Amino acid sequence: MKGVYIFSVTAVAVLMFIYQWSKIKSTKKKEKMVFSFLMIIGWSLAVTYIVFPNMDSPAKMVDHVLTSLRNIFLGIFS
Amino acid sequence: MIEKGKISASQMSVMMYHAIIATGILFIPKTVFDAAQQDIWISPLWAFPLGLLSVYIAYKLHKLYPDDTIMQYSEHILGVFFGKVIGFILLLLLYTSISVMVWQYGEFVVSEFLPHTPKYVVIGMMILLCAFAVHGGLEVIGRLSEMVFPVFFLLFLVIVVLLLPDIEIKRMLPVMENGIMPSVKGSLALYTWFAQFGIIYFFFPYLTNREKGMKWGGISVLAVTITLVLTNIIVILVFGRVTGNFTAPLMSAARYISIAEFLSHLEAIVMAIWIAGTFIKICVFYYALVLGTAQWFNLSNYRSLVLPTGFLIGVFAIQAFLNSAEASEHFHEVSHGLTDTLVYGLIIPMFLLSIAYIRKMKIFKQKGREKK
Repeated sequence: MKGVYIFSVTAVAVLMFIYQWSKIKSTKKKEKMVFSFLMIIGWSLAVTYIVFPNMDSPAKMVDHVLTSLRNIFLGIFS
Repeated sequence: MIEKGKISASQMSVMMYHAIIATGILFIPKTVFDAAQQDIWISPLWAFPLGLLSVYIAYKLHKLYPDDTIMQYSEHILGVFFGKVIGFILLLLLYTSISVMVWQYGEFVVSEFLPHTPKYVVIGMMILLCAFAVHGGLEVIGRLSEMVFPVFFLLFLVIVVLLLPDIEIKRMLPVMENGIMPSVKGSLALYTWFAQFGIIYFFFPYLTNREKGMKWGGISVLAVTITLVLTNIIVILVFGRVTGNFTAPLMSAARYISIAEFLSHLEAIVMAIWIAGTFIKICVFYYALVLGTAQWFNLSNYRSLVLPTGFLIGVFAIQAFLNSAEASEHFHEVSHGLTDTLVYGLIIPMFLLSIAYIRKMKIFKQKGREKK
């Protein structure tokens, strides 16, 4: 099942790549770099989440950081 | 400038109205009820100044740097390195915030209306739709929100009017049973929504009539407050002390409507206005994210980033919470202050504004010395 998910995510990513790559002008190297950078991050995160489904999401990490910040902050005043 | 389109101040205010109210209208009554009990309708009034404050801070920063968004003036204020760091934190918080919104949308649609559809289909379709709108640019989103607003408001009023036969005034009595403190505590949860007004800093530079920006921003905050007060009053009048048992009280209240046996099952209307509103909400945040990313990398065009950003949002949104228990834990955390929206909507702009003022004072002092 995981293989199917990984395959379909890869297919979506490749389709997006084919669609968008030709539309970026060849002179704009930086845009191409940023585009591929974001695509690679997205794809690798998707694959990681499929392989390890119990991994923490950024929402939970930010929650964790903010709660510990708040506790430190409250600790100063109490 | 990276965005060539222009919107009017009123369009911006309608956009912000949707961006706040879309999820708020369903989830706020329950979140606030835990603290405020029958006084939930007073809480939005306490949160109102905070919304106004975040618009005001964004406007003040806009006055100092009229042609820039926060991504650019953070570099002017703090220098390139620290400006980039602040920008990165901002983008990260926006990603988490939007992933939670999209997750809420997916979870709600799947649990209430389409129980057999996989969640990634629901979320993926919504993101694809939003991607088209964002690709169209700011003008498209502005006009879409203007188009959605009358329908949204009319149907909302229809629901309120149809609920009138079921209300009982005694359910909201006694008003302020334990003084004003419960309602103030309830407003803590509302700060999450009202602080999202801070995102207005992405839209100020693209207004045709910039001098009216503050006025229309204020009107938007006022409209949100009035809508929330109305929603909370109607919910508390219909459900009284059992409001806390529902995740989305307005939805359940609409289910309760049955007039002359044939006018029933009106939750579809609530769902319709809610999906339209959420669409605008996701579009606004998605657009801010894409524009912010493009400006962070100093690109000349943001359109090529729309699809990869959407992909990333989708991945984050599906993974945001594993189940609704985790989500309710998150929202419980959120209702106790210090949330991601508060950080990017209020704390970071406030920090930037104070640094900008200090720098300005320094420059004036130096000039004064040179004259002597």
